[in-house]
Amino acid sequence: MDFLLPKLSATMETATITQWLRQPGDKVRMGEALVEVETDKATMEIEAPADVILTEILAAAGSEQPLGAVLARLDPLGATATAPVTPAVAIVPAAITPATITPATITPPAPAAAKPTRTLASPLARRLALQHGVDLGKLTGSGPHQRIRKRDVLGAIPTTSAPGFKPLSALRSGIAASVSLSRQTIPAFTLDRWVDTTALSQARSLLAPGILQQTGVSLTFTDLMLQALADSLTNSPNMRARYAEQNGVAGQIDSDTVDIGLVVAVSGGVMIPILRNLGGTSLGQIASARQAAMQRARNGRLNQSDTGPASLSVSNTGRHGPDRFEAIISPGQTGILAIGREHDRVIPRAGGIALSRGVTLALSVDHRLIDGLIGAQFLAHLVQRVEQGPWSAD
Amino acid sequence: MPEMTYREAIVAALTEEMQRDPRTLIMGEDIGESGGPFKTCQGLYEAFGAARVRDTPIAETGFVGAALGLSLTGYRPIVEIMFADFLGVAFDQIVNGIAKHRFMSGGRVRTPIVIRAIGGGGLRFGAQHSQTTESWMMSVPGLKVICPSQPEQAYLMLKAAIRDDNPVLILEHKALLSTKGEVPTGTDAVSFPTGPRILREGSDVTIVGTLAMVPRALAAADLLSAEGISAEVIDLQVLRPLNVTPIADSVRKTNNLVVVEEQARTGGWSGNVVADVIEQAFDYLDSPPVRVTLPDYPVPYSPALEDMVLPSPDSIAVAARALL
Repeated sequence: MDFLLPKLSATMETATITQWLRQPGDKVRMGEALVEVETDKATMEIEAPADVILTEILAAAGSEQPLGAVLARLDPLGATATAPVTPAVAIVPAAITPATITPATITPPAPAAAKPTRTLASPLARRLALQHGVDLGKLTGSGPHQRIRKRDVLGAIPTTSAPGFKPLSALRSGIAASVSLSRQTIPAFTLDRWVDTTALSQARSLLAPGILQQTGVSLTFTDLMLQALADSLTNSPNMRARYAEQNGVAGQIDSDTVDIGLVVAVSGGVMIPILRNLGGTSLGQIASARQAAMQRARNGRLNQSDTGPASLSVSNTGRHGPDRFEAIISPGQTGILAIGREHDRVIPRAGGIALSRGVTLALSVDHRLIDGLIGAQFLAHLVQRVEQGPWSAD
Repeated sequence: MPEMTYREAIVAALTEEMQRDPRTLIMGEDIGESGGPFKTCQGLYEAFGAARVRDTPIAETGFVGAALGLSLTGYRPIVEIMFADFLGVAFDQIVNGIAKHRFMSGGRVRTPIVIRAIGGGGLRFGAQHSQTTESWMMSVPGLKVICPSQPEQAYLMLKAAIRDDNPVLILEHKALLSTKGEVPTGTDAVSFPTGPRILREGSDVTIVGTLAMVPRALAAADLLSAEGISAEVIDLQVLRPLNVTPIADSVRKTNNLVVVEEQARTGGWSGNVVADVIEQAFDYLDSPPVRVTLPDYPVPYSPALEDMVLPSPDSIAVAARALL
C-alpha cells in the first residue's frame, strides 16, 4: 500500500520530512510512529495505519512533500509477501501524535474519503429483492434511516394488478412456456437452401385431380413438401433421433418411424399435430393425414398421438408469408423446417441468368445431436428430392 | 374445569402430587401452620403433617442443601423460596451441588428436586424483593428452569416438575398469584414443557415474554389490534433448556420481533432469544429485533418509579408500533 502524506492541519499544503523513525524492512505495529514531519504548525510523528512492513522509503529526509504525496510503500502484515498490493483507495494514516508543542493549533486530519454509501435494507427486503429481481439501489426505504423494508420491495414488484395486465390464454401461455424452454435449452442453428419448386408445382397440377377424386382432399404444396421431407428423413437416421437426458446423463433416442409435426395456425396461437409413420406413404395418404391433422388442430382437439415424440416439424406460412424465416424447435424434437413464400428469383444458370421459382428452406436443428455437415447433407438431400422427384400418385 | 387462582393452582398441584407419592415432602419458611407467606402451601400442613411439610429457619443455604441430601437418599423434596431474590443465598448449593450431581456421578445418582421461587416486581417490595432472577438461574447447566404465566401452567408445570428425576427450578411471580383461570385439576396427563407456547396468533409482529410480562404482552396486543396491527404473543415458558425455534418460526411469518423481559437489560434471556432468532431466521427479519426491559439499575421502591421502569402494555405497544 502507498503511505501518503495526510493533511495535518487546516492550512497545511506541504510538509518537510524531518526524519524517518524506521528503516526499510522494519516491522511496524499499528499506531507506532513511522516518520517525523514538520508542517507550518508543528513537528509531529505520523503513525503506521496498520501492522505493516516498511518496504520502501520514497520521500527522503529533508525533502519537502506536497499533501497526498507518496512517502513510502508499506506491506500489510498477514498479506502474502509476494502479492502486489494495489489498494483501490490509498490508505491515509488517521492517528497523529504531535512530537512538539503548539497543540492548540493542531486540527485533526480530514477524513480520508467519504464512506461509500451503503444501501440500508432489512434482511427480508434483501432476500425478496433477490427473489423478484428488484434493484434495491432504485428504491427509497420507508423505514428508519431510509432503510428499505419488505413493503418497499413488494411495492416495486410488478404484480397482476399492474395497469393493463391480463393473463394469457391457456394456449398462449403454453406456447410461451414451450418457446422459452426451447430457447433456454436447445442450442439451435439454422441452415438455408433455395429450392426450385417448378417440378413440384407441375407434379401437383398433374396429380391433384386424381387424388381429389380418390380421397376427397385437395393436394397442397405442403403435402408434396411433406413427402419429400419424409423420404429425406427415412434416409437419415441421425435426423430422426431425438436428444434426451436420463438421470443427468446426455443421450439420444433413435426412431425407426418417420414422424413429422405440422405447425397449424389456429385462433390465438399455433398447434403442432403430428403426422405419424410417413415413411413410404403415398401423396394421397399424406394429404388425408395432413387434412385430418389440421382439422384436429382447428377444432382444438389434439389427440394423444399428437403429444408424443416426433423428429421434425414443418412450418409453412404460405403465399403471404415472408421470403424466409426461422422457426423455433419444439422441445423434444430435433429440428424444424421453415418454408418461405414461393416466389421467382434470378439465379445464375449455364453461364447466364435465369428465373427460378421456388422457396427458401430454413432448417433449424439441435446442435447437441446434429452438426453442420449432417444438417447440410440432409438439407441437400431434401432439395434434390424436391427438385427432381420422383412424384407419383402411388 | 374449575376456575381458580394461580396460587390455588399451585396448592392443588402440591396436594395431588404429595398424595400420589409418599416420598415427596416440602420445606420452606413459614409454610407449615401459616400456609406460606403467599398462601401457596395452604392446607398442606393439615393434610400431610409436620414431617412432610417442614417449617425451616431463615437459612436458605441449609434447607436447599438438605434437599440435595434428601434427594440422594431417595426422597423427592420440594423447596419453597419465599422471595426468589434469596436464591442468591443458596446459589452454591444449587449451582455446584444440585445442578451437577447427576452429571458428576455419571448418571448414577438422581436428584429429583423442585425449587419453587416466588419473584417479580410491581408490588412495592423494593430492590431486594422484586427481582425475577431469570438471568441468574438460566445460566446454570444441569438445571431446568420453567416459568408458568397462567394458573393452568402453574398447575401442570409443577406436577411435571415433581415427577421429573432432574432438578427443576420453577420461577413463579407474585403479581400473578391472584390471577384466575381454568385448571384441569385431578389430571394425570402431565408432561414436561418443551418450549414456548403461542398464546395468540398474529401476522405483523411477534411479542415474546415470560411470567407477568405475558399478560402485559397480551394487553399490548389488544391495544395494537385496535389500530389494525396483528400481534402474535408467545410465552417463552422454558428458560432452560432454551428452545427458540418456535419463535424463529413465528418471526418467519411476522418478520418483526419484540422481546419483553422483566429484568435489567444486560445479561438477560432476551439477548439470547434475539441472537438465536437472528441465527435461525435472519433472512426473514424486516426490522431490527427490539428488547423491552428494565433499565440497568435495581428496581426502585418508589411506586411511581417502579411503575415507570416495568414494561407496560403501552411501552410494549410503542416498541411494536415503531417496527412497523
